[in-house]
Amino acid sequence: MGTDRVSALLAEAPGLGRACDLDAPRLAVLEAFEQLLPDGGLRPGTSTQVCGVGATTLALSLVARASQGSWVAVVGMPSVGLRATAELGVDLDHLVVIGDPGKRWTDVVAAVVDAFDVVLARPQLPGREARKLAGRIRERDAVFITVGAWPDSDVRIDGSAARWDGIERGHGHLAARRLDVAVGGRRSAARVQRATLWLPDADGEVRLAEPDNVPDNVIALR
Amino acid sequence: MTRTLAVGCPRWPIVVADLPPDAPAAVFHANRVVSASPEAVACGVRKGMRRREAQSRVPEIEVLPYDPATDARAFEAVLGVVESFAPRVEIVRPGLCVLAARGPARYFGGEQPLRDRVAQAVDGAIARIRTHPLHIDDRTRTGIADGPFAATLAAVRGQVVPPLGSPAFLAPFGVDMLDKPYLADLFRRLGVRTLGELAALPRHRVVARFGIDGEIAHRLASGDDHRLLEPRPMPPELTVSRELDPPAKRVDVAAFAGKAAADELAAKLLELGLACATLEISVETEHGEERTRIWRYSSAFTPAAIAERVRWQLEGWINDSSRPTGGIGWLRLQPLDVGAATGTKVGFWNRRGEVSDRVRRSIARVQGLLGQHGAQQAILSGGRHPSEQTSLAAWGDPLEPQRAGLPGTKAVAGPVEVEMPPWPGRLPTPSPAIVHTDPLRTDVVDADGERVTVTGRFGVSSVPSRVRLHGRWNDVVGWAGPWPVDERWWDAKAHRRRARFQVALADGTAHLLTLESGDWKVEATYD
Repeated sequence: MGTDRVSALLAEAPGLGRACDLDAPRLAVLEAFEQLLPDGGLRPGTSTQVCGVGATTLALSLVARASQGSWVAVVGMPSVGLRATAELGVDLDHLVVIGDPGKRWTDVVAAVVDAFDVVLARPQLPGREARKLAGRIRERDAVFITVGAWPDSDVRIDGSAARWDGIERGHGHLAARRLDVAVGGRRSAARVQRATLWLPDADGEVRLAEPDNVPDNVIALR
Repeated sequence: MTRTLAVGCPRWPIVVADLPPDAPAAVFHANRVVSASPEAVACGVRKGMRRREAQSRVPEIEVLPYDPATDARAFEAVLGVVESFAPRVEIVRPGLCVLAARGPARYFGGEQPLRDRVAQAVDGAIARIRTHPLHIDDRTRTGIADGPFAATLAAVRGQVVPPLGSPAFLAPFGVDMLDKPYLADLFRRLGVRTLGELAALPRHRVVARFGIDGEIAHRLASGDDHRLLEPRPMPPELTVSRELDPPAKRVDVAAFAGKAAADELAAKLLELGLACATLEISVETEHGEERTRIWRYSSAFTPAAIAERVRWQLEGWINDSSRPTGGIGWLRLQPLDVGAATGTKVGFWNRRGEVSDRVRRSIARVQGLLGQHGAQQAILSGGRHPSEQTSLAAWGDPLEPQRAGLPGTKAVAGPVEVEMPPWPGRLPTPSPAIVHTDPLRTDVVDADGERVTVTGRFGVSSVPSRVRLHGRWNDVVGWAGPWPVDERWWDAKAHRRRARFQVALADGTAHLLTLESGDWKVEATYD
């Protein structure tokens, strides 16, 4: 019996597939997320929901490293700022935008999770149907990330308490943002990790911030 | 030179929508006007206008979605009538087709009578698919000239250009008529403003500099466009045939096979260093019914454009009165002209060479569900407005920035290297993560609850203190602006004068607001 057959059998048995691929390859993430994510990266076959303030930027920066070589599909987010997407390090050459799937949302997501390494989507489904699709995503080796709540997500990321730097009353401009991020979820992610991120800092980088400590490279415009 | 009859249905997408002739309506694609009804045009709605602007001019305007598949389907009725005059009708796009005029003109007693008869017959066919009468401006236009492009412009003016008169007829038109904005812009900057000036340049020079698009542009400008590319002996292996087993019962299944055939043809052409701009598509059912259509394209066919036309043809047939009785069992793609792929643009889609078959198939599936523009790729481009700073193209089409790009960078347009304009006044980074496709209405007030406005010299009337978003008032913790955006002041029609603000609100959100003619809008959100 070949290895493929074994893994196919394991995949059919619920729960077993998970246990066997502890060392399965993960898609790389920016350093800032390595310590926050339960597996130190994005694990194929899992779903992650990103909610709260800054969810769009969080989700885009989450896939930035992976897009350098892996294919990313963005589904149902027609207003995503593509200039910002590129600034956050997402490789546009590996990005396919499916802006308005309309009523075919489920079919489109089902089609892209079959082939894409990473799928970024805004959920547009009633809960029951979403659960059916969640099962399929688990079977495939795609990383599924939603901007907005998704039932049965393995990892949950929440952004809150955004503080902007560089903008004052009547001068300056939005230059850098600190955001409190909480990462929780099921199984290995059950313990909630908290951190403050620069999203982005004044150089456009996403990195961990020292809580309440303004680094030198941010010019206080006072 | 071939005498050509062009049959054009003005505002085809509007005609297809079947509204009363005096209803103000417009078809929108990506939030911009693609086509507007005569009534809307009379109220100042123009092609390319944003939806909000069109709605502010005509509040009761009917907003119609852009759906080329529906337009193509409805055009089958017209094609059926035109085909009764002469075979081998070539479709330029839904709403416009061309055919050889010599034979039928002889039969119907001259070119002028032929023109009138075709126009009358097509108007009759349109009346049968509509419940409302046709607006008088939307009546079918026909024209005859040497070559399809000249015939099309002759149709717009409703005239017959005498034999050998096409070059003189075309000469005064501007290079914009070529419908290749990027090339037209380059031509203008080189001082070539009219089709006559372009036609006066030696063709081999234009080809050497601008590649295959240059060749097509030069042929159009000189009225030498019976075939858009140099006709040459057709290598027999260029025909792609596909048997569908089992026969496809649904359009999306057949269209999926069409996509694969299109990719195969494109790969063959690429391998031989060729490009094609006129294509014959034949489909046959398991019962032997066949439908053949000839499609012309404005430049070298891309796989996506081929696949789209296969789909249109299938949908048109299925919804026709003579619809097929069985599944689609066989389809064939045959180029009718090929040219040496001289330019850099052809084969550009191969830039993403490392696409796996799995990804390709998955995208083909999505495009089968949503149409070619359902799956797109993005490229950075120049511009001040966040939505202008990227261009999107259907997967499989060549990606080109709409506006020349980033400051300090250089881009290659054909063999020409161009210095990029700096776009002064564009927004500082970071860029907003959400650029609202339809800007949200909002309101900004000062501490006394008075609406904040901007003076003629771009000063604020008072300090912004609260912003209303989704019906709730939010305190402003930081703001910057007004940043004036005074674009295209030299052009009365395109002139826009806006003031931009960035605001950071107490709930942690930050937004890009604009104030234009007294209206506050959320243009983008720094989510």
